[in-house]
Amino acid sequence: MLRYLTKRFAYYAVLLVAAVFLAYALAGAALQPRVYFEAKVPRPAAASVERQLTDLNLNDRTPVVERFGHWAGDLLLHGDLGRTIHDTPVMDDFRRRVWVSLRLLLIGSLLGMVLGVAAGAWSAVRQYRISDRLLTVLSFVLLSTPVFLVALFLKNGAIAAKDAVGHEVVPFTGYETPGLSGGLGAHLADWALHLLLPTLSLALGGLATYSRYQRGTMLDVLGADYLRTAEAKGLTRGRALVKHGLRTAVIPMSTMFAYSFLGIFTGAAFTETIFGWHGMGEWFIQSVNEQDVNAVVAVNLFAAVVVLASGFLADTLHAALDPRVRS
Amino acid sequence: MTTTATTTATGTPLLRVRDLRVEFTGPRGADPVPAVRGVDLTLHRGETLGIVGESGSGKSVTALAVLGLLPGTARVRGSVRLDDRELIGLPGRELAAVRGRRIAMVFQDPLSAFTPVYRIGDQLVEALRIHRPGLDRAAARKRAAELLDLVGIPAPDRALDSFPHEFSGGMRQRAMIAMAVANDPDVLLADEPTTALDVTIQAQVLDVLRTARRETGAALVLVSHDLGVIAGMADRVAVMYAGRVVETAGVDELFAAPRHPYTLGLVGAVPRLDGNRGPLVPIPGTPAPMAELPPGCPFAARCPLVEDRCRTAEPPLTGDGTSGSDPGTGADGATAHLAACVRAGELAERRPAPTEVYPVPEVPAASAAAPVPREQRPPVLEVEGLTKTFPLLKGTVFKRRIGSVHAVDGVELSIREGETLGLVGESGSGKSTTLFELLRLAAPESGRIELLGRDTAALSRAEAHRMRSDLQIVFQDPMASLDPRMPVGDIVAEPLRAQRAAKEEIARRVPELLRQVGLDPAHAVRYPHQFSGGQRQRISIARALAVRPRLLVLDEPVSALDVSIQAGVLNLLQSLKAELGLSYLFVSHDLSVIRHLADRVSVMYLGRTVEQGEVSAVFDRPRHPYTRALLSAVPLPDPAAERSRTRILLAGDPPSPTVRHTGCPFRARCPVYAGLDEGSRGRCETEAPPLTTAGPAAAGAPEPDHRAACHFPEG
Amino acid sequence: MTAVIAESAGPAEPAGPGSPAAPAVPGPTGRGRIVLARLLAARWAVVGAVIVLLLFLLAFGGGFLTPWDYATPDYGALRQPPSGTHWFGTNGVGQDVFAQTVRGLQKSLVIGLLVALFSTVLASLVGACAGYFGGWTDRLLMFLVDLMLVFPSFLVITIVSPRLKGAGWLAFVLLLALFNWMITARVVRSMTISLREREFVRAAQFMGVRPLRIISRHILPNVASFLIIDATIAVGGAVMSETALSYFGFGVKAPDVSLGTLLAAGTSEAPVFPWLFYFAAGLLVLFVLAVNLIGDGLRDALDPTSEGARRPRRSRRSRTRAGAGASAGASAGASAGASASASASASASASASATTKRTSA
Repeated sequence: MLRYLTKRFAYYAVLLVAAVFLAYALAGAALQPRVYFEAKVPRPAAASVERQLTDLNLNDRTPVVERFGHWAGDLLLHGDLGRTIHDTPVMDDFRRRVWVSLRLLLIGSLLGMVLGVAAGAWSAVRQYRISDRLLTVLSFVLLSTPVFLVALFLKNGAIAAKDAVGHEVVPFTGYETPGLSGGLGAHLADWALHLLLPTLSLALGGLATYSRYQRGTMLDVLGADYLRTAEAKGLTRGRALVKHGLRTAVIPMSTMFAYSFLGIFTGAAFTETIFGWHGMGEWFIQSVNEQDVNAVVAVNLFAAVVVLASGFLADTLHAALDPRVRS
Repeated sequence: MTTTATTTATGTPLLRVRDLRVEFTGPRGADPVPAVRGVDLTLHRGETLGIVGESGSGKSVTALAVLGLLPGTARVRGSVRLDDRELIGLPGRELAAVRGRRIAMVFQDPLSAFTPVYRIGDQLVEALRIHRPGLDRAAARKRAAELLDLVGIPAPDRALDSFPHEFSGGMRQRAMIAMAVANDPDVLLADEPTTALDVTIQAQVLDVLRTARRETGAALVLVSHDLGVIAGMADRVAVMYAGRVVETAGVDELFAAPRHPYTLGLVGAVPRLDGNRGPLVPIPGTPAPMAELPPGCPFAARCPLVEDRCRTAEPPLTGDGTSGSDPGTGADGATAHLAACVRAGELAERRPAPTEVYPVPEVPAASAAAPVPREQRPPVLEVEGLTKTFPLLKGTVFKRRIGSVHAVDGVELSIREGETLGLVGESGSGKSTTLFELLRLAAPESGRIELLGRDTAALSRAEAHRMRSDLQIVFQDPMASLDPRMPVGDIVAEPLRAQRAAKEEIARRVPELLRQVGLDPAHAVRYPHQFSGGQRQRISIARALAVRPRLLVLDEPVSALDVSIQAGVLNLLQSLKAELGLSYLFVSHDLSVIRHLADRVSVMYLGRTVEQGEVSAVFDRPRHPYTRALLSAVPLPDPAAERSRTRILLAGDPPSPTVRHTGCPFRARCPVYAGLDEGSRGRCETEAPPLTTAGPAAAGAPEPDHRAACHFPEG
Repeated sequence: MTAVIAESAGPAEPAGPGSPAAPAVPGPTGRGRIVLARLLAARWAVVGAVIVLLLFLLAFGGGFLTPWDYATPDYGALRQPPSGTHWFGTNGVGQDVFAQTVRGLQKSLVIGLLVALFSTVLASLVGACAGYFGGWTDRLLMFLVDLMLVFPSFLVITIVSPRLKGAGWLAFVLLLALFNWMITARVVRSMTISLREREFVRAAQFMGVRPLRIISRHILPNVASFLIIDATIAVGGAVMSETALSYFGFGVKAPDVSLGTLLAAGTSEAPVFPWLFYFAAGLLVLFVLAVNLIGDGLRDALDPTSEGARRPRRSRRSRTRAGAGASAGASAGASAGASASASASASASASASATTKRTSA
């Protein structure tokens, strides 16, 4: 099993290097930091533009492989992600924003997964009853609503609530109240409250996805021979369903976990922008608009690491859940 | 066994099933489909009741209904009484207390019947502790090991920690039986417990089942489609057709003098290991669709003895051919012979043979009577020393080689024109690999393949492509071997197109071929799923015949079919061979079918040919101990013969083909080797026996063609 | 057991060789008709189909119902709520929201359809080739798939899209398609691998049928039902991706209008002037929902293993194939578990394909 995971890890490392290089090449070719500098008012001198570009390792007259080599060297040797187009270290922004995003991503995806698995299994066992049908309709509507729209609906709802009551019921901008006084408890409560809507907008999509899928695998398992065996041994239906059914039906969800993270990440970028969270997603959209190559690459790196880590986690989970993979 | 039956048949019955009816509700709006339509069964302590029937007869549903294990779409009515307790309608919790404790079940497919993610030991311990909450884990584990030991699993303590997928099929079925007897149940329900297993393993498992029954004193209900298994195990038999019991009697009585035409047909449709080679009795038609049963007797449409009154009312299950006896009370007498046929009395009196009742097709005699002696006929296929090794891979993304599988390790085959060679072997013996090596029409890894006198190693690509028309294959599962998305006409035409036949030729051949295999040419526009199993196999045969091959490879062509259907396909193959002068390479695990159809037979074990020769020579005077064991493991559909035969039980499973064995690969399971002295054993351990005509014991045997690979052959 | 019933409902076996069977089959029932019947039985799929049809009528015919053009402003009516003259009201510069919505819907639908078409074709080609040929072809193509999966496609599209300003929405379609095929390709590949081992493909190989012909005649028709379902859901997914990207200004750009750009324009004013936002949002959700309903209905109708026909299928004599498979596939015996999990993950990714399409925006 360890061998299996080591191999997976090595494969992911190769993928990561290739992916980051491609991202660098793509950003280097598609974005135009030169245009950004030239558009400044007053228009700076050509030589000054040239020097600034070279200093930032952004000069499009240097071959992209050379620029990448420089960038990768700094990253590997000094843990340095280069400088932003405003000549500040990318790492500073990165450090500040990464926790903002991870908080949202982790809580959102885990919440979606746990609730989704539970709802799906429950729905399968109650197939064709009212509760199953309601859940099905709900998940279909959620699946048909883009995450940004869910976020917008939630935000508009919060605004409407504020207008109706006269003061803010649920916060819908930022991840903390600026200048909040009080102890740790007050801060934690404030954080949690701010997390509510953005997390919900992410988790709802996950919930719908996972529940549909878990319902499907659970229904497959409901007809399985071993479930019948478990009942033939003398287990009651309920215990057989949980101990033998759900335990097996949850295995394929590990694969699902890896794939759904792709979607969640994208969703998070929109959610952050809509709720005014200064996370990686918002940074990315802003950097693309500012032609900030190094910042864009940093976000790509983060995305690749997150996706691959979730893939690795899914593999580990799969191996842990299914003895057939281990041997 | 008969003695136990008669002594225990008295007294109150243990399990009484009365008027059991099961319906499955279809998709929204559809009428419910009946599966069981009024079944009465009575089971006494210590007795074995066999339930026999073809697919769709409702036999498994009956067994599952007794335990209340049917899916939610099933509606069960009637009565199932254990001692005096009604089980139908019992609340879930109370029923759960009965399951596994009083009535336990052994399922058909032991791989899917174990939860894949738990260890065998944990699943056994769970079975024990459900009904004995006081039992602590360590004690339960000890008892689980004892149970595994009882069913003959070697190293039970280690086996407890294995996962189901690490067990072989036979081991899993043993573990399944161990789990079923864990709580000393009063009734064991076994639903096709050996269907997925090889004959030698089947013999082992049936033996374990007998042991388990003896140890626990449980009554056994054995559900099977295999008349041979039923004949060897059961005291009483119930034959099911279209959801009803159509005949029930003591086992000897039933096989000797069946009173329902369906039973009579079943007995006649089975090829027999000890039987003659005359045509089999095919029961015409297919079972009536349960969704739209005709009024009257459901068997009427297929029955050769049908009368007008059969089509109006369904005959009740009555005793001794006379009406009026109540099936309820009649069934309680263990020896009562009941049949649901208006002409049962007539059949009881006349006792006809199946061939006297059923119209038997004219099948030309097999080439045993061919005028030209074997040596003078040209060879079609010659294979010598064929081997094939696969890398044993591990890992999912980066596969690495951790060893080799010697799938084929010295196969010899020889087929002359107009001949059928039967290739026999258990799963993993390398039969299919051998076939695929032949069909590749390329140079083998080592050894020699000569098709129609041409060495396949020397063929150019174009030549090999042309030669494909001389060699065609029919696969086991007709559903899998026919593209579900192609109309039958296109399927049959595909080999012609691959050989670039002209359009007119194709248009002419397709209807001709369909007619040849007994199908309506107008059905060429239909898709495979619109045909029954037997018809699909006919399509498969038509496709193989399209390019007029000289040699037809038949890979288990009838093992996916019901007995009555199988008989028709076997008859067809026999008449096609005579008509078209074909040669067959007939692969089968079923020795009865081989005996029935083949001229010569070749027995494989662990990738090697261990014995070959004329069918009569090999079957009547087997020389290799493996062949002898194989033959003795085949159940005969004849209770008297079953009781009187001595069975050679092989120990364990076939060894892994990943190890290259020195000496004789069979010796680990060989009864002859076990009885040898030290000096002679040494020979088996060091020297691989070659395939020779005569061992020392049989010097001067008058069968130059009969060869076996054994140092100490018999006969 | 239940499967057995279905089996016995099959047509009759012929009486014997030589005597053609009396056709006991109740009339010719083509596969197409069966699928249609099952599809009609799935009521929700019919509802979905009707909605999609109406939305298409609206998108392409709606423009003729109103005198207003989507771009021309009515200076006499700024930010007017819905009325007889302006059915969906007007926006800040006096443009008719109904005309704009119809126009945006049209664009979004066309983009969705084209993206689904292109990506499905690409996915089936890559997947079938990788699966059928195996070896290095497979390894190379799958590395490519993994590589493209590592990035959320939206990152790449966002980076590239500013450079495509001149190329217009068609380039945007190609870009979306280019990042939407990978998971489908993976599923097609694993389906192909199992099809390759199926006997009818082996039979074709032994008959001497050429590889590309086997792919086109046997492999692709047998994954067609999955592809149809997947493409259906992909239409919904593509529309969601398009609107999301356009919303953030990386997709369809002025003067073109799509549902995404409309939503972007209406968002800030949504609490006060809801007609600027909710008509477009409602139509978007309605369309994707309808498409998903069709996809789900199709799955039931086309896929015999899906819920509608989901029954424990137990072939009574599934014996012997185990042995054949083990010796032919060599590693199969050793890695039965691995292959079991592989097929599990194949079906996992099949659903994943559908669900990520739905949620990728």
